[in-house]
Amino acid sequence: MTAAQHFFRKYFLSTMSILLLFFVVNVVLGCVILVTAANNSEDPHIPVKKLAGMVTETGGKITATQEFSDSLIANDAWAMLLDHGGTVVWDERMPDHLPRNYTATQIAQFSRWYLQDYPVYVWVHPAGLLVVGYPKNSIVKYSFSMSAEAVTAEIVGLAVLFAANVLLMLILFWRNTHKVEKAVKPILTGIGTIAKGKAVALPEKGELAEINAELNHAGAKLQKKDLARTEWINGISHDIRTPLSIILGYAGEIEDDGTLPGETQTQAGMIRRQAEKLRRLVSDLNLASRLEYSMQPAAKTLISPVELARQVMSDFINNGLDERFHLDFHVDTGAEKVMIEGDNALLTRMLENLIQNSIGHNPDGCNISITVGTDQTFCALKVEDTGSGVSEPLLKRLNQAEIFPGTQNEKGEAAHGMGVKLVRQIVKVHRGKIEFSNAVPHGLIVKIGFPIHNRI
Amino acid sequence: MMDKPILVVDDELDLLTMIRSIFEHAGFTQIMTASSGEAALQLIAQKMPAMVILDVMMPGMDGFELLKEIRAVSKIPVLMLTAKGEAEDKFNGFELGADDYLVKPFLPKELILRVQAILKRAYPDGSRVVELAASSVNLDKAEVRRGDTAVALTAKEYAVFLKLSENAGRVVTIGSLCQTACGEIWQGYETTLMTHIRHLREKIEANPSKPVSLVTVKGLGYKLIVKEAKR
Repeated sequence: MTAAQHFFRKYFLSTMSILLLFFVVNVVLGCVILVTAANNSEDPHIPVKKLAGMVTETGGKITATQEFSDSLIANDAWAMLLDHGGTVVWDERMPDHLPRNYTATQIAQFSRWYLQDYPVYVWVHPAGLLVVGYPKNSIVKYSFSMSAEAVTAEIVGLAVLFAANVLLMLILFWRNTHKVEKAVKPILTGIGTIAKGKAVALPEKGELAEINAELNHAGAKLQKKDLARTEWINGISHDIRTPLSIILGYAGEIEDDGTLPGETQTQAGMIRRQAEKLRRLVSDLNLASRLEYSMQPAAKTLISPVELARQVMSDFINNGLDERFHLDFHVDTGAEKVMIEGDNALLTRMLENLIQNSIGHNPDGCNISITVGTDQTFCALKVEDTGSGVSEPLLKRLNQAEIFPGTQNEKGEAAHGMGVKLVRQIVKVHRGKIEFSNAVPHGLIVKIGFPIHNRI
Repeated sequence: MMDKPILVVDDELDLLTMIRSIFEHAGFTQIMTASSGEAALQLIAQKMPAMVILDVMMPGMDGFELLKEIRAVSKIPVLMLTAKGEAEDKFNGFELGADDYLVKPFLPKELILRVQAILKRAYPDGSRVVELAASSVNLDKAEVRRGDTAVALTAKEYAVFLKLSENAGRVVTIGSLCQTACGEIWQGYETTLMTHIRHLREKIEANPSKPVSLVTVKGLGYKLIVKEAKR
C-alpha cells in the first residue's frame, strides 16, 4: 500500500470513528436527559387509583378522607362519584355548571378525553365510578392504541431505517473519499515521477486540472533543463573531438620523429598522453551524462564475462601496455560457463575504466589482476592492483557513491572522478553491485557483481 | 600497398592536413583530400582511389549520403571517420556499406593499422605467404610448407590461422577464435579450439610442445609471431 492509499484509508476510518462517536455520545446524552427529566418532573396530579382508596362507602354514605380533600385543593381539582346509572351520588369541589347526570355515551367519551374541557381521570370504585377532574388546560390527554403487529413492524422498520441510513452514509462517504483519492492520485504519482527525474504528463482536466497543469509544466521544465545539459555536454564533447584528433595526430608524429631532439620527442609524448587523457575524459563525461538522463539505451545481449575480460585485457596488451604494468587473468572454476545479460559496449567501457584507473593512479607501475568468479546467482568481476590504494575516507566515499568529477584526493590529484562515476552508472544499468576495498599489503580492489542469466 | 591512392574527405582542413601528414610519414605515397562530398565524388570518378576515409558530419552532403552515392557506383572500401560515436550511427554506417568505423578523436596509429588491414583484405596479392619460424603458410593454397614437405590445413585450421595471421603480433582471444571456428554460438567450444590449435602447432612448429610461432597468452588467447609476411 502506498503512502497516499494509507493516508486515505486512515482518513476514511477516522471519519467513520468520528461518526460512531457522535452516535454514541448522542445516545448517552439522550438517555441522561430522559432519566434526569423523569426524575425531576413532579407528577402534576395524584394517581386516581390512590385517590379512589381514600373514598369509602359505609352504609350508603360516601366519605372522603382529609388527605383526599387536601390533594384536591392542592391540585385545584374536583371529584365526583357516579353510580351505575350515571348519576352523581357524591362530589367534592365539583364546578356547578357540570351536569349531575351522565349517559353511558358521555361517560365513554370523557373517560378517554375531556369533560367539558376538564381533563378527567376515572377509576372503578365499589360504589360506582370515581371521576377526578383537573383544571382546564392543565393536562394534555392523548389516547394511543396500535395493533401488536404494527408495533413490531414499526420497531423493525426503525431498525432498518437506521441501518439503511448508516449504510448510505458509509457508501456516500466512501465514494467521496475515493473520488478525492482518485483526483489526488495522479498528482502524487506525478510528483513521484518528477522526483525520479522522469517526464510527467498528467491529464489537464477535472477539478484539479490547474495543479496537474502546473506539475506538467514543472516536469517539462526540469526535463528541458536535463536535456539541455546533456545536449550541451554532447555538443562540447563533439566539438572537442576534431581539435583533439589533430593534437593527438601531430603529437604522435613528433614523438615518433627520430630526426628531432630527444627532449622535443619526450615533450610531444607528454602532450600525446595528456591529450589521450582528455579524450577519455570527454568521452566518459558524455556517456555519463547520457546514462544519467537515460538517453543511452542499453543494447543488451548475452555476454560471457570471461570473454569480455579477455577482450578488454587483450586490447590493453595489443595497444602497447606500458612495461611498468602487468596484467594477470584468473578464472574461477565454473565461471567460464556463466552468461550475463548486458550491453557489451558499456561493460567493456566499465572494465576499461577500472584498468585505466589502476594505470592512471599508479605512475610507478603495478600488477593488475582481473578475476572472474561465480556463486549461485551472481557473477563476480574483481579488478585488483598492487598500487598505492586509497585512503580510508576516500574509500568510504567511493563506496557511498559520493565521488563527483573534480574531487581531489589528499595528494591533490583528481581522484577517480568521472571514470568511477561512469563505472557505477554502468553497474546500475545492469542491476549489479560494486564494492571498493584496499588490498593487503597495498592496492585497490574493485569487486563487481552481476546477476547470472544462465549457464552453458 | 603503400602506393595505393587513398582519398580523405573531411570539411576540417587542419584535420585533412594532419591525416595526410601521418599517412605520408607512415610511407603512403598517394594521399588525396577533399573537403566536401561533391568534390569527393568528382575525385572518385576521375582518380579512382583504392580507398576512401570519410567524415560523417559535413556541411551540405554528409558522410552517409556520400557513402550512399559511392555505393551506387563502386565497391571501393570505405572507412567512416566521425565525431559521432553513438551506436545507432555505427549501425547506420555499416548498413550503408561502410567497411570500418573509427571515432574521433582517434590515435594516428590506430587509423594507419585499420587502413592497412582494410587494404590487405580488399587487395590481396597473388601469393599470400606467411613466414613463420619453422615453416611458411600459403594462405591461397591453405598449405603449410616445412622444408620440402607440404601439409594441407583443414577448413577450421585455416579459419583459425587466417584470423591469427590477420592479427599477427596481437593477442586474439579464445572467444573470437572459437567464433571464427564455430560461428556465433561458440560458448563451450574451448576444447574444440584447443584441438585445432594443437593440430596447427603440429603442422607449423618445429617443436609443438614448445611453440614459438603460435604462442599461448595465458588465460586470454593466442598470438601468432610472424617472421615476415610476403604479399
